Amino acid sequence: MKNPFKIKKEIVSDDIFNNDLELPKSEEYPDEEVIFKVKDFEFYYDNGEKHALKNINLEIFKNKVTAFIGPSGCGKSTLLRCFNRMNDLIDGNKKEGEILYKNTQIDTLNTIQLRSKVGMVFQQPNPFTMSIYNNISYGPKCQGLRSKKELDKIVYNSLVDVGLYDEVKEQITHSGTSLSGGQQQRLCIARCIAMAPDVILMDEPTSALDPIATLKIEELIRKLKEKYTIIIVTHNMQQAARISDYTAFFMLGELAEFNKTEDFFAHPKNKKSEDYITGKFS
Amino acid sequence: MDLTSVEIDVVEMSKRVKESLNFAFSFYFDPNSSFENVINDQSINEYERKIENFCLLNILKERPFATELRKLTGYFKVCEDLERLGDHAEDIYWVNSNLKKYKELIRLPKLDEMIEKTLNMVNKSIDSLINFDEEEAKKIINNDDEIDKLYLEILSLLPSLKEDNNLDDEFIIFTTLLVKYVERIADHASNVAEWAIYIKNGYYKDRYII
Repeated sequence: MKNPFKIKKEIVSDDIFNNDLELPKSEEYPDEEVIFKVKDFEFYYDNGEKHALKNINLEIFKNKVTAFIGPSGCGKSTLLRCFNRMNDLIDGNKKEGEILYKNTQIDTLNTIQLRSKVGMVFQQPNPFTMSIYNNISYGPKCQGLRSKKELDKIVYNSLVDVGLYDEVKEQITHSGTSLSGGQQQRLCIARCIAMAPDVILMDEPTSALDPIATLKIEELIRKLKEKYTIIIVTHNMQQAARISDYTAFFMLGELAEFNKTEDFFAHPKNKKSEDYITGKFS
Repeated sequence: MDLTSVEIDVVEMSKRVKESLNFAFSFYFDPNSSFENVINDQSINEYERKIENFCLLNILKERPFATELRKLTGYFKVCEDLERLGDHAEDIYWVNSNLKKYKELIRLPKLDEMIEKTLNMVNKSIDSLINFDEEEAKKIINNDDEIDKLYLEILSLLPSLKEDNNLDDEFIIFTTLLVKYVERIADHASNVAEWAIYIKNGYYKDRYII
């Protein structure tokens, strides 16, 4: 495995911390501000043996929910992990083309800095085996924040934002793993937003949850998009239709269609898209 | 999702509606014939229930999107217009039974024209629904204005017709009812064509629904 702490030629950019930075407008959707732009992007595993992503061109819009859908192995999770360079940790990966975050090539950015702005929530809730409070304050502490007052404020705001505060306020010192699955997942989202990210990447965040916990996460996603940009990988078509603003459909490593969600599910441009969403193949 | 069975039901229901209306109007043109038995509104109503049931169950249990969603919602709505057309076939038959005795005495060329054009609209709108023929459907919708015009013309003729020919009030009442039913039939035929367009592209009357 590569050493994740290996220092490469990376820059620490103040731009990506600047919330007032003017983002470029999308050419195809002029009302939208582009936070991520993927250009002619190719990704390979196994030293180039496995071509996982082919010629991807895609824009991710600020304060919108973008759903990535497609059959297993189509490359949607691979692309998701490229946005915060999680794939850099995998030996034998190779990439071509570029991904711009706030107009800056992500490969030129410091990964710790990038990942603080582009957080991630996984399929299985994975709270640290520490208290609820420490789960949330861990990230800001790692960034050097020491003020108890500031940390309390971050923990409080994060728990309120994910709708968990009233449920856990009496047990803030209890272990994060003592919570139910749905609560654990919301704790993970709280841990993510404690870092004040711009973008939250979600890789099938509800697939391990029951319908009620799923509904709460979906409601949360709708609320969170006011502050954050969200990219979600899901196998649940109705979930994609319910919560996302834009949908990207992947097939065999290619982006088969990118469209407004309403249009995608009502009038898909591509026959493959219609066949997939109507269950004609999987 | 397999929509074959509901598509067959829509075709069968449409076929019965067409037959019922054609027979009901044949009775207008040939009052001596009797077609009461072939106007089977009950079977049309049963098809409506069956189609509604299929559409609702599949919306509940499956995950209809795109064309499938438009077909399920379109068939759910269009079967209501088809059922109303079936009802009107019975109404037309009943009105014609009451007009039978006057047919030898008087005919209204404009009413003949209105009925022929309306029947043509019904047949073509149903064909456009079954064949997903958007262009044909658009033509039919435009014909509705012509029927509305004939409807008003015939109504305005009736008072003088009564006076000039010393006609019974009964004739005027049933003819008025007949003209009104024909106008309603043309409206429902136009709706069938509107739903045919919706099923094809999601556009209904004046806007995209989905």
